[in-house]
Amino acid sequence: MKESLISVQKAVNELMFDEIKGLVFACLDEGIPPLEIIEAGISKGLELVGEQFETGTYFLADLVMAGEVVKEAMPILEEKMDPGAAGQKGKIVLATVEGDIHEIGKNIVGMLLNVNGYEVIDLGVDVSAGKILAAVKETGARLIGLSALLSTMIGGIKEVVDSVVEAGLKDHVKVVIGGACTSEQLKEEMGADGYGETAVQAVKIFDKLSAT
Amino acid sequence: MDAIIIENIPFDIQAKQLYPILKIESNRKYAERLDILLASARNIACPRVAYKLAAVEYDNDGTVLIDGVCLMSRVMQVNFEDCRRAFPFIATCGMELEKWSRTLTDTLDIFWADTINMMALGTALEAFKRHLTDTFETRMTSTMNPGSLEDWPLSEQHKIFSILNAAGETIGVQLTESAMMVPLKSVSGIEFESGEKFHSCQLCPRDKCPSRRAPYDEQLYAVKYNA
Ligand code: B12
Ligand code: SF4
Repeated sequence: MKESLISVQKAVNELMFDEIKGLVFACLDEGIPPLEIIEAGISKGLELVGEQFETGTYFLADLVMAGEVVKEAMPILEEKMDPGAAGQKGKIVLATVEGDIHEIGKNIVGMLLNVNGYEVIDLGVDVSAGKILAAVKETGARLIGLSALLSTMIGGIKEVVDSVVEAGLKDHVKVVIGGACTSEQLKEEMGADGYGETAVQAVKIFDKLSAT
Repeated sequence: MDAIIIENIPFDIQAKQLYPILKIESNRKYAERLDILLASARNIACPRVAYKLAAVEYDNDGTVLIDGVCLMSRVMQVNFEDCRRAFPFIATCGMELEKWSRTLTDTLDIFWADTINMMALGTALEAFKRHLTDTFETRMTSTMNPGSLEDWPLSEQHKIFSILNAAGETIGVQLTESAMMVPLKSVSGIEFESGEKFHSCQLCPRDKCPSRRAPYDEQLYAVKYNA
């Protein structure tokens, strides 16, 4: 791989806010296409950050700040790309389930999905299935992310899944769950399509589902 | 006894304390941005606590009564065995910070505001514990929060609010239908005097919890709390 792309990876991975723009310009000067800089430089750098987060070397604040490094670089690249090609992977309606107010994890997931190329429609906390479905219909989103930390409120997940089915959207709209009281097993029980243990996993599972 | 409100709690957290936590020590641009955000938070911050000195009594079947309100927790029955008084409370970062954080739209600002509001709540809880030591000469105290363990369900949060009469509202904390508090960065519970420190975490098997304060003790429930 080209040295300059490796430098971009490193800048994201090592939270080099001040250097990232210069390094991206250097790649462009070398004639590397913007999409390649995003995929082989920036996304790869984010992946490395994700790995360090999962092994416990990096903390939440590192994850968030890596997102900021990416935000520094993206406008430069987007300007050079065809509209629509900026890695826009689709829309995700994100919410904490009805009855639960825990928001920190949801916010982190939203931020990471956003820097990974998704348009995130964050409906906030304590959101009813009705509101979620209305947002899906209004925005045409095909992905829903639900955060649930209170074990007493997992019924909220089922309500969203059921309302998607009742609206006849089951084949088009995928529901992914996460948060402390969720698990792979709960995903099965609730009839959801995906489960992510961390924000890093959230990106992976949405990438997988949006590719199908 | 009437509920007591603790307010005018100084929230004087310095940006320098936050730089390392938020990983921005080496960057002036972000440090300046945080300085501005923190200054606006500090300007309006008003963390508060409402609490009550309450009598602890027991029903015939051993159920704990706090100021006459019966609370359904086996763990509490055992933990409160030697207590004649306890301190039900609601602590909050305050509606001022809650409203302020709702106006933010940038994800970084939102993340920082989450941290700031959590610290304001932490300041309120510290002030509460200091106040108990100063006023009632409490030595070691421990906390139980409704909803933290299956043993004491979240629905009992309503009872804490009713024991405190309207004091929850006085400090601007509202309960939603599902027994959640707004402002979101609020906690409710009962502070009690304990010979040895009790943490719900000792009875909670959840792994990878960012807030664990004591290791999970697999035997503890059976040994100490099984009726
Ligand atoms: C921080 C916290 C709080 C804070 C902040 C709440 C807020 N507004 O966000 C405060 C202190 C205010 C709080 C209060 C309460 N809390 Co609380 N809280 C927690 C705690 C310790 C950590 C949650 C957190 O923010 N973690 C950090 C984030 C980054 O992690 P995360 O949320 O898990 O998210 C990650 C992953 O799960 C995943 N993820 C999250 N969402 C999604 C979504 C998708 C789609 C995907 C794929 C992935 C994903 O990615 C994230 C990043 O990697 C949890 C315990 C725990 N282990 O989770 C208890 C916990 C959830 N709270 C609990 C309780 C009971 C309460 C209270 C009711 C206690 C009380 N009586 O006062 C109150 C209620 C507050 C209110 N307003 O009514 C209980 C719930 C128990 C249960 N029955 O299930 C827990 C489990 C703790 C406990 N046992 O004591 N809480
Ligand atoms: S380990 Fe975490 S989830 Fe369990 S009681 Fe302690 S703080 Fe709550």
